[in-house]
Amino acid sequence: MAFGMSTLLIAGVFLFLRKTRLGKAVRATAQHAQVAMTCGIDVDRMRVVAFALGIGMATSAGALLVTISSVHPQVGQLYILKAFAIVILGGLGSLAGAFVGGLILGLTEVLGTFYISSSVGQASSYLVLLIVLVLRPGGIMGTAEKVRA
Amino acid sequence: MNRRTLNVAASLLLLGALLAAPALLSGYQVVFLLLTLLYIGLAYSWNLISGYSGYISFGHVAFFGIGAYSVGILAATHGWPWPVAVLCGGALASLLALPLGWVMLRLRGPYFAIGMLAVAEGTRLLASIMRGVTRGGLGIFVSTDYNVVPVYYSLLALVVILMAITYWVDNSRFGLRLLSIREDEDAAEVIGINTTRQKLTAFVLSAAFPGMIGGLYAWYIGYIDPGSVFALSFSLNMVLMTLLGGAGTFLGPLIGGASFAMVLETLWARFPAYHLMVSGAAIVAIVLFIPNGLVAVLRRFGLVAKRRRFASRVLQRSQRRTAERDAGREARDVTPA
Repeated sequence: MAFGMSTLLIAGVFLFLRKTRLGKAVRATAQHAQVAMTCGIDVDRMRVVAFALGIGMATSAGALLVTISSVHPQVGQLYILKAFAIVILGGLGSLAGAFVGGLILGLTEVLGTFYISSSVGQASSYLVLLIVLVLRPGGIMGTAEKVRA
Repeated sequence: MNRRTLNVAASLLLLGALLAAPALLSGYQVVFLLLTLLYIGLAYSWNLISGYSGYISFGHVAFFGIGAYSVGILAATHGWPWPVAVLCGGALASLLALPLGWVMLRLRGPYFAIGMLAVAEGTRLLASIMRGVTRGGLGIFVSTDYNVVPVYYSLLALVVILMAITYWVDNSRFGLRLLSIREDEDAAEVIGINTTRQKLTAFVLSAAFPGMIGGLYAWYIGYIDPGSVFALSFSLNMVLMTLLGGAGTFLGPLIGGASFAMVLETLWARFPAYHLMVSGAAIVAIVLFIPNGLVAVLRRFGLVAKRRRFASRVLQRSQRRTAERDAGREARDVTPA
């Protein structure tokens, strides 16, 4: 249930950003705000759209989490760290990167927990992150261009 | 000149007051000052790398925890004298920072920030995995004595040393190189600055002090476990305090750390249940209304020098040199052949 819903949501966001005019405008803003502005895109509005979309995704993820796990006021802290790690692992601003990064991190953690122990599982996911960053400083799907601060 | 004597007198007065504090104040007040000094010291350490070179580290708590565990293991388990253990904690932290910085400082912007966050989480988990050395989640009982006064004086000494180092960085070519990395690293490389070496030096320097402060913290608090000395909140507080005071400035961490500790303590005393919520709101308000930190506000009112004195001196010198060279060239050009 949660798996199906989240797959649907990811596909939805992917299609929105790739296929619709609004999605294209959001990506253009992310790539180069000034050029996007000269093309007549309302950059501030696009940022609001992107922010709202991100919050919407996080909220849905939280709602789906309830179906498989318990929740408490501090539940977010655990996941925000992982979300950071995944995005950096995949490469900032890359949807496919976030997807692949999420899979890698999740699998490392679960396999490490299953075969060794739960703290080793958690530590190994950070180890994977560091190894990836050393080999590819811009993340798996990131390009060298995007590494620029 | 008058201004300068005033500054020196004020600092000496403050230092004297802080030296006399344990004899005059109540236990609670001394502990409060101790924690304030701890925060100020952490803010200064963080400022050395992140304030000057712009490499925002979300993982400095890793060094803090390493220092705490050095004292926990060396002083409590093996019976070393605690000042030696504290120094060993600092040495170990900077020793580890060398290979770590060599790897991490190749990352830029958010990649470095989050990478450091992963490093901090990794060290926390390592501390809980290596049960043989660290006793894992059981934690270590470091000391049951009342160590507030010696720890207070040690922290005061560390803060003074850190301020001296920061003052030197603020008024040296090393500091200017770091600032040039913050403004534009590629440009800094192009004009011939060995950016890796500068960043690494600042990183190792800024790792040594959280190591020592962490060790002192362990000696003061008496009990450590991975969750408490590798707590993410230490890293975040370092960032917050420095930004509150003004990143990459000499006085920023002092002002930011002191006001942060004071605000936190007041809120905690007034609103026991809501203090984190109120301080969260306060942080948002500060970021919105004084984004450049309190030092920028003081600057506007003329209480702090407006320009970087060393930087403007270097600038003037190079301008003069260029002018002299141009004048010489003109003179040569007009000389008839």
